Amino acid sequence: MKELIEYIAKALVDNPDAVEVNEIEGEQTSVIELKVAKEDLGKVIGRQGRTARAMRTILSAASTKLKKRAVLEILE
Amino acid sequence: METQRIFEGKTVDHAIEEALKYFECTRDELEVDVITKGSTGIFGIGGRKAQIRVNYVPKTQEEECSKEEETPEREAEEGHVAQGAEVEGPSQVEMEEETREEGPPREHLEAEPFMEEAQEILSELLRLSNIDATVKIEMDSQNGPYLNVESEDLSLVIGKGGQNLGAFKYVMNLMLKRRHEGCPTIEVDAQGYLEKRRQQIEASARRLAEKAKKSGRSQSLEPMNARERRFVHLAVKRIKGVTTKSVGEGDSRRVVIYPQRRRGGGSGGRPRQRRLNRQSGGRDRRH
Repeated sequence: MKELIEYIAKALVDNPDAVEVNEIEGEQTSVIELKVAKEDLGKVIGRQGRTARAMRTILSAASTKLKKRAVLEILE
Repeated sequence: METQRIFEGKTVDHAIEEALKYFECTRDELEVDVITKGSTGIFGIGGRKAQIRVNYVPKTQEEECSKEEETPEREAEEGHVAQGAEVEGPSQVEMEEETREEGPPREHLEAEPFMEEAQEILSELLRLSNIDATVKIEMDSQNGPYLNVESEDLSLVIGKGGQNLGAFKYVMNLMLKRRHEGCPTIEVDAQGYLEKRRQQIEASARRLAEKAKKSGRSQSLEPMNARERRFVHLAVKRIKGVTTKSVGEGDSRRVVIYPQRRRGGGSGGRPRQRRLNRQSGGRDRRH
């Protein structure tokens, strides 16, 4: 799931090298932390949070198969 | 639709807002005369509403046509916006997107060179999402090339109300547009889901339109994306005695079907607004 978010985020930002993704695995829930360059924040969030929402939707589809829950946190 | 109308609001700005919503247009298409400026009164009691007279001057046909080509899909527009471009009023795009009758077939030759790349991106997204699926490039005689997702886990590909499919489509197109500016939005289907969904939407639109007519009350559909709302507008357009309008913003934007009032004026039933008027001093009707 970390790979998934990394793949999406790197494709959307201007500074792919600044993209950092961490996965904090819990028993049932995983937290995926996404960090991007400050000026790229808008790109991973999107207008009215649309991009962030789409990423979260895909992430929850991805976690269904693993019988887990995943939460995406975008860090500032 | 009449082009001149009086609007009210707490302030002049609010009234203009109402007018924009009513005509579903941009600010520069409206000529506004202020009749009275609003005053708030004390604790909102005894305040007067602002009233404006609005003249709606739609842009010419040619302009609209060229705009349609630039923004063939709302997603396309939003894709750009997400990348920090300038925003025009969303309502304008909305109006063109939703209420336009099936016009000339959209330019689909353009999409062709991007199909393989789109296919690759979508396959990768699905693979990374742990979904076993095959993405195929297919051709629709009317709408041109599109991607078709085939999978054992179809329900996972589609998601509730198509939200997963929508998210995959949105992210794939966003990525594609990052690489190729001006690339058209590419449609993503999953084994005929889009057509099935369209039929469902049209059926429930017609059912609610009948209900609105019988009961005299407006009926609200569930929130939908621009494409789906358009199906509702077009399906209900053929039914007499009701009108449709999109309300709400963003994710909660949905179509409301209004029964038409006998006295023809305007887009008919807005019972809520009327009630509000009466409560706050009911200038027109009281005594």
